[in-house]
Amino acid sequence: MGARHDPAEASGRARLESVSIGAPPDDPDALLVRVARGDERAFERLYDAVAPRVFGLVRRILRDPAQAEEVAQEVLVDVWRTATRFDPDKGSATSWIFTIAHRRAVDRVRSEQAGADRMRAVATSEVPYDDVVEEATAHLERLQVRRCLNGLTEVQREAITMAYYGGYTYREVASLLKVGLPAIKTRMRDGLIRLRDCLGVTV
Amino acid sequence: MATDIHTLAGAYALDAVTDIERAAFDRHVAECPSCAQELAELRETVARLTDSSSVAPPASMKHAVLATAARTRQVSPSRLAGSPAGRRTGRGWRGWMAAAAAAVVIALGAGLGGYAIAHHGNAATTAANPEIARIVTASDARLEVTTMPGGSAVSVIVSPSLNEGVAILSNMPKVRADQSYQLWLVHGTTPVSAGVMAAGATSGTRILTDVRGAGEFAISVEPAGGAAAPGSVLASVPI
Repeated sequence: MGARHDPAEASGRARLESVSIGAPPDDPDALLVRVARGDERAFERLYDAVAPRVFGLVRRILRDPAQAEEVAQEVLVDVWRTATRFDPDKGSATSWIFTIAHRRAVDRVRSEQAGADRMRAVATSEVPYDDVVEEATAHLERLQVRRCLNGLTEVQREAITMAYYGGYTYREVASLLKVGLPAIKTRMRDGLIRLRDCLGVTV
Repeated sequence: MATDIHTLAGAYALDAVTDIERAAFDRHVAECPSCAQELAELRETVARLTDSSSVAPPASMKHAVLATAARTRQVSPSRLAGSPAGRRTGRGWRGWMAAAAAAVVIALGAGLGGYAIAHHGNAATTAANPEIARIVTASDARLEVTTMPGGSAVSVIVSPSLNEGVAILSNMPKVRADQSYQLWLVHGTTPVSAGVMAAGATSGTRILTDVRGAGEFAISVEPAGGAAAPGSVLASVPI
């Protein structure tokens, strides 16, 4: 019995090893698939790989470090909890995780600022977003992303950075930039398509 | 119609849409494989924007996350596969939003055979109220939603061509039994009463008339039966 099992186990082990050698050890896609099977060690490695970006994004949107920590923590636990629903065919693990992070942060922003106040402030352009854009741009300096963002028209770039780093809806962005709704939707989409081509993003 | 909603692809990928628009767009993408492909690419592009915002989290966070994960049961894979779960764990009003999405799809022009407006858990089909159905399905019907902390939501659908609208209040903060929510249409700076809710009521639907020319819809808490002018405005929605 034992003799019959051993070769199978050995070859099983060999296969696993060749997989882990073949793929980068901290590739988020591979890690997330393992997390979906309840692998806590894979989750710890995934945490190390994505937590700084999750925390950074959430903090940029929320500003308040204490709140950002709370939300980032919720996001990362949610990644663990819902990893079973990640479908690698539909996109990368990082895209899936950052979408959750962005939504959670924006949810917090939108539910905390009473709708009415926020809408009023936006309508009168009282919301400072320059520093968001500046801060964002500063960080982008060393990156290809910046070069590609610079390839956009000013309105495309502003629309994208305000929506993403500022957490605004396209309606709010339209009001801040004093551009019509159909135009702002077009700018966002065209801008992202240009960015996609510049970054060479494929799915 | 389909191309119209598709122009939201960029805003959707950037998460710059309301929950209701997201629901409408999800519906659109489910029926359009090439749109799904474009969306996946735009989402990957957006994810790259995150590369630049890396900040080391406090060391205590790692322990907290791993410890919480260790005692958190993972969900079963389900029909929601592939859709980020970030908001779906949400509280009260999201359930309502999901139900209201059907009505909104019409407002966004995605076209739908059957429809319903649902609020505070009770679905009232528009078929039972032809007046509401007429307004919601008008070709120029627009929807605006404002949400507030605690699960409150105010939705307003207006049709300038019909000069009518529908206001839906959902889970508004409690008021005393001798108080009512009052609805207002603001023309310029002048608020004109658009109806008073029953004393103590925190959810309900009202048809609005004379919406043309109004720039804002507002809600206030007043003594039961209403007031001639709003006291303190609780919420307002540009329309």
